Amino acid sequence: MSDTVQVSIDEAVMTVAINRPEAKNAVNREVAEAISTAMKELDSNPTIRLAILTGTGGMFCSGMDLKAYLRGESPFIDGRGFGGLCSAPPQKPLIAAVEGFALAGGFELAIACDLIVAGDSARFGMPEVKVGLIAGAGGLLRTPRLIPQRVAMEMALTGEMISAARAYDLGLVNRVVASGGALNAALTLARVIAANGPLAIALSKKVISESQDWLSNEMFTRQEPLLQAIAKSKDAMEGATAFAEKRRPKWQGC
Amino acid sequence: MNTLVRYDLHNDVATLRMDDGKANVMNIAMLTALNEALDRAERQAKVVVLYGREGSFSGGFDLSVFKRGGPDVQTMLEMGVRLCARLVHFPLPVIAACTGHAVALGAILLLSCDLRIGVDAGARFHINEVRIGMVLPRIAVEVCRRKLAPAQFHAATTLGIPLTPASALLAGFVDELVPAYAMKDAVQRHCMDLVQLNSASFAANKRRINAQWIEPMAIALEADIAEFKSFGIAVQGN
Repeated sequence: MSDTVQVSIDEAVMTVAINRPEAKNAVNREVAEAISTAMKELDSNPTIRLAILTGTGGMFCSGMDLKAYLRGESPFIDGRGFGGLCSAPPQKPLIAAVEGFALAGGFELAIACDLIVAGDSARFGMPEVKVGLIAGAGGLLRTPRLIPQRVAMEMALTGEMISAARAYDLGLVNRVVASGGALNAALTLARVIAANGPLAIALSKKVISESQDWLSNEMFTRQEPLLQAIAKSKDAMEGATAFAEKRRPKWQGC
Repeated sequence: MNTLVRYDLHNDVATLRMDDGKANVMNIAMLTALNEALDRAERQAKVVVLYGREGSFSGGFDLSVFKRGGPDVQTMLEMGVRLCARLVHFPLPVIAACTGHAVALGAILLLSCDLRIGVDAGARFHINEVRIGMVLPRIAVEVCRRKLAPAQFHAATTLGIPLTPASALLAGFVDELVPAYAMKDAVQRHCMDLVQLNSASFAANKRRINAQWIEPMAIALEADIAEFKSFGIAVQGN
């Protein structure tokens, strides 16, 4: 199996790197399948806490591989969507480490992640309208929930890119670092997260991601089962005990 | 006719489009073309626009000339620093349309203009001489000292820290940022504004505002040119 997606695991952090720099890391069937497999592994392997999604060669992802698509290769995976990710992100947190371009499907992969760290020359955009398409892999759905609607509208209708600095100001990107440093910065961020209770981070992600759709008069009710799960967990007990004993917690993930 | 700089005169605005197909490096041909275009603009226009090409305003001196060596090195260097001085003291308002990267001498030329509009993404502002083993010409230091914001001046010049458009705005490399597709309109807006200035009044004001600058720049220019002569000799001697 060729290395179009490089997956590595280091101390509870999985790194998934699209590795087709000659094709600007465009997503073909093989890439989508590899990401899908990695996401399944992420969620099923208790030793992995979170994952980083990135691209090699100073470029995140330029979107769907059009040539491959015309040959009949679909980058949409059943049940998971574009790139094996966009319609059904994993339970565990995902950080996008973006250098260069995150455009079209590449942009949609980035915003399907929970956090984004970007190099300062990174650029983000949905150029689909320029070729008569729309950003249907979550670009139009997620962007206006992440940044002000009118700015999302401008991005979608003009198809123009925004800079990492602008993306940071809009709150789309969590951190901007010097060009070339995004992956390292993402790893640093990942280690901070990986040190925290595994169940806690997964359920925090779940509440934040899903509660946007909960009505105000029922949101606490809907949160309750998740709170219960945490309250009953061994890790909650361990966390409090470790705090009292002034030591590092030893998580079990349950 | 030199195609490195396309000259257009319209409604008293002379637009000088630099385009060498790549990084708009400042070699003798480009510098000659720029000077000729500025000569025409000085005679014919009320406002000058110095326009980069897509992705690059100017990448600075042509490094291949250094590699080749010979008397061209000295000529190119001298023409480059003289152009900075010329722009700083130019009697007409000069608008820089910074369409992309501004590196080394390219950054200094940008700073030498009166009003600088930059693209908001996809451009690097980099006074990188220290990064490539070179030393800033004295006149370049003078331009940077006067045009760059004090807080950013040191790191940008001494350490050769590259700046993004957003940082460049803070640092004083540019006065305004626009998306690339909006550059043409932004330039036009400023042209329509500045073309209304009385040329004699503008020139007199600029001279007075630059008064304290004239002597230090002249001294720096002389010292730079003297130093370049010794480069020429050293290179020829190899």
